[in-house]
Amino acid sequence: MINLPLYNGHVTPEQIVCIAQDIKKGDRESFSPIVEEYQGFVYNFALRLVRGDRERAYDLASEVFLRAFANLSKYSPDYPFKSWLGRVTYTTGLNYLRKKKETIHIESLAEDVPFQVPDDSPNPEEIVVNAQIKEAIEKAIVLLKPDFRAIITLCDIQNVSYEDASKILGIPTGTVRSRLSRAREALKSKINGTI
Amino acid sequence: MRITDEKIIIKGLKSLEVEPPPSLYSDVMLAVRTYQEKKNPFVLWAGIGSAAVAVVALAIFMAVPKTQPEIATFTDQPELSYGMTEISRNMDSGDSFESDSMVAKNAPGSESLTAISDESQSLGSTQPKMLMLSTEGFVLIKTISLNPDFCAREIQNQLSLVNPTLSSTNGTRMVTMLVPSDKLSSYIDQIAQTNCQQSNYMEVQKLQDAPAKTSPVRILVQISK
Repeated sequence: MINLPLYNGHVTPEQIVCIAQDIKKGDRESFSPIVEEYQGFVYNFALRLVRGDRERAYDLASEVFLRAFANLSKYSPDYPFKSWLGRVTYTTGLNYLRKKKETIHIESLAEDVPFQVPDDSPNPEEIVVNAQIKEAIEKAIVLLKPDFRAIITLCDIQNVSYEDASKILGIPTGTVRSRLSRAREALKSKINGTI
Repeated sequence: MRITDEKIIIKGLKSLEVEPPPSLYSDVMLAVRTYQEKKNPFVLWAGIGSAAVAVVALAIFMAVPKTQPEIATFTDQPELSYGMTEISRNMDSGDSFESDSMVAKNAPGSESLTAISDESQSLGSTQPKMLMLSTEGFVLIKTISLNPDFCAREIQNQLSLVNPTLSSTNGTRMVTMLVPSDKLSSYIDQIAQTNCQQSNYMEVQKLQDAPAKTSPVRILVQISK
C-alpha cells in the first residue's frame, strides 16, 4: 500500500474506500472529512486555474467536490487520493475554462484580489517589498497558459511532489520537470514585464 | 525593480496560497446532501424504449379480437408430412367448397365459431360462452370422407390412447378427444394419416390456444361426406 503525501495527513486511502462504501449505503455525511481536509488544496488549485477569480474558484471547487462525491466509488486505494482529487480538479477546471472562454484583466484582478496571506516579515521595508513581489507574481501568473499555471500552482505553491503532479496532470515525471522549468521562465518574464 | 532570482519568485509563489472561504465547506456539504444522481442516458433510453415496446405490444394485444377464430398453420412442422401440404393449402377454407378442387371460397367467420360451439355443446363439452374462458385449448378439424362412420371408428381406434368419443349431429360424424397441448401436432398428424377413405381435404382451425403448455387441448374432428 502506498503511503499518501496527504495535504494535512489525516484521511488514508483505506478510509477513503470506507467513506465511499458508507456513501453507497446512504451516509452522505461521511464525505465531510474529505471536504474538510482537501478544501484548501482544491480551492487553491482551482483559484489559479481560473486566473485568480475567487468567485469562479469557489464555484469550481464546489463542482470538483460534487464530482468527487459522485465518483468516489471509482477511486482505487492504490492511487494517492490527493492525486486523484487533483486530477478531478484539473480536468474539471479545464472544462470550466473551455466553457467560459473569458479572461480576467490584470487591473481588475489587482483591485479585486487583495493579499490574503499575512506577511510575517518584521521589517516594514521588507513588508512593502514582499507585497510588491507578491502583487507582481499574482499579476503575472494569470498571464500564463493554463498548463503553466497548473504546474506552478501544484509544484511551487502547494508543494505537490513531481510524481503526484505527473499523475494529476497526466504527464510523465520528466515532462513535469521540464514544463515547470519553462513555466518558471515564463513567469519570470511576465513578472519583469509587469513591474 | 527586476526580479531575476528564481528563489525569490518561488518564495513569493509559496506565499500565494490562500485559505479557502469559510463557507465553502458548508456549501459543499449542503450540495452533497441535496445531490441527485444523474440518470445514465443509456438506462434512460432503454427504459423509454421498453415502455414504448410495452405500449405497442399492449395496443396490438388489445387490437386483436379475441373472439375471432384463429386458423392454425402447421406447414412448418415437419412431422405433418402426410397430406398436410394439401391441408395447409386449404387452411383458409370455409364452410362451402368448390366441388372439384375442394378449395375454400369463404374464410371462417363468427357463424363457424357458433356452429362449432353448438357442436361442442351437443357433445357435452364446453359451453359456448365458456369456450374462450376454458382452461383447455380447442382445435376443430374438418374433413370429408366417403364413409364417415368408418373414418370416425378408424380415428377412434388409431388414437385409442386418448379415449376418443364418437357422436353424430345432423348426419355429420364427430370424434372428440382431449390431448396434451405439447403433442397436439403429433395427434393431428396421426388423424391426417388415418386411412379411412378420406379425401385429401382437411381443414384445421385452432379456435382457442391452450393457456399453458401443460394444458389439454380438445380436438373435435368433424367428418362429413
